[in-house]
Amino acid sequence: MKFISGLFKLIYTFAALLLGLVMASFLISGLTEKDYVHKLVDAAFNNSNTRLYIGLSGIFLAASSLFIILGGILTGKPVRSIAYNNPEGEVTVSVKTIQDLIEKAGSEFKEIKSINPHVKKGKNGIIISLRTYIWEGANVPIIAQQLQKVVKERSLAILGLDNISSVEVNISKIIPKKNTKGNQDIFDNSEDYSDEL
Amino acid sequence: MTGKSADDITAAGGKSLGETKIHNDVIATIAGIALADIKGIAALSTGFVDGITGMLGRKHSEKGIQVESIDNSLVLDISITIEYGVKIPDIALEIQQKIKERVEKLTGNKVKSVNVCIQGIKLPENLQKEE
Repeated sequence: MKFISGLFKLIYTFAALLLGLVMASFLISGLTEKDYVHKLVDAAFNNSNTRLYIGLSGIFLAASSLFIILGGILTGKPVRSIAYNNPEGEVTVSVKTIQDLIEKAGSEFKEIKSINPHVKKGKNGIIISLRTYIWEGANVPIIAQQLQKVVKERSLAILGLDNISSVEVNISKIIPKKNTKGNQDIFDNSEDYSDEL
Repeated sequence: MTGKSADDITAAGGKSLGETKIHNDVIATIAGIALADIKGIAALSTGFVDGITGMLGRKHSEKGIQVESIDNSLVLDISITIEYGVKIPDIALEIQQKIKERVEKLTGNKVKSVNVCIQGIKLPENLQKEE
């Protein structure tokens, strides 16, 4: 899905750039003589193949636009900060702060190698999406459940965010232990907080 | 000075002998001193947008403290980095209450709201080294 979305955006950007350059070229009289433009339009319109290609390109561009717009609505908009009010004014928490806290929470699990959090605004509240790399041998359902619980609890206790609608854990990769011996030593010596949950 | 500057606010009770104007920078300084008493603040920070508005002269500030005068009352925006382990709702309320109390007491002006923006968090050093 990410690849398709990226491809659509790339093509759309390229088409918009091309269209922009063509329109900008109207400023330079030498490049766009009236006869030349007329000839070009006539040639394109009279040739059925060219009309077909232009028509299909137009449909593709329109579809890309809809895809990008709907994609943004359905997946939720990425946000830069979360704000809430208290009796004395507004409290705003930057997404960077939320991400740092979640990364810190993730670092307390010896089974997790790294965590990459994303914060989005959904219909029913804030959606926190966690792209997680875990070490080989970790029990995925248990880790995912514990991580969800910790993130939700700390979001409420430390950040004051009570409108977390979901915490999505995406296990992106399992890292084999033998390739990361150096790192594993660090984790073996570290304190395990996951049992306290 | 013939007109009233938008950057100043007239102090209450100063009308019988003449006007007393307090510049917003003074209010920002008072707020800054009030913040020094609060534990859990790692630093005051200035965001990009605040920096630009400050340069354009729309708001007056110390670093991380923006002051606006609206209808003879004050609105303060505070941007901070906090220490790890601090509960944001608690520290935000403490900041708001202390600044409101101190500014109202020392200037006699009403504080409409104190908005707190948590720009970042200072993580423990051992974690930063690991990263």
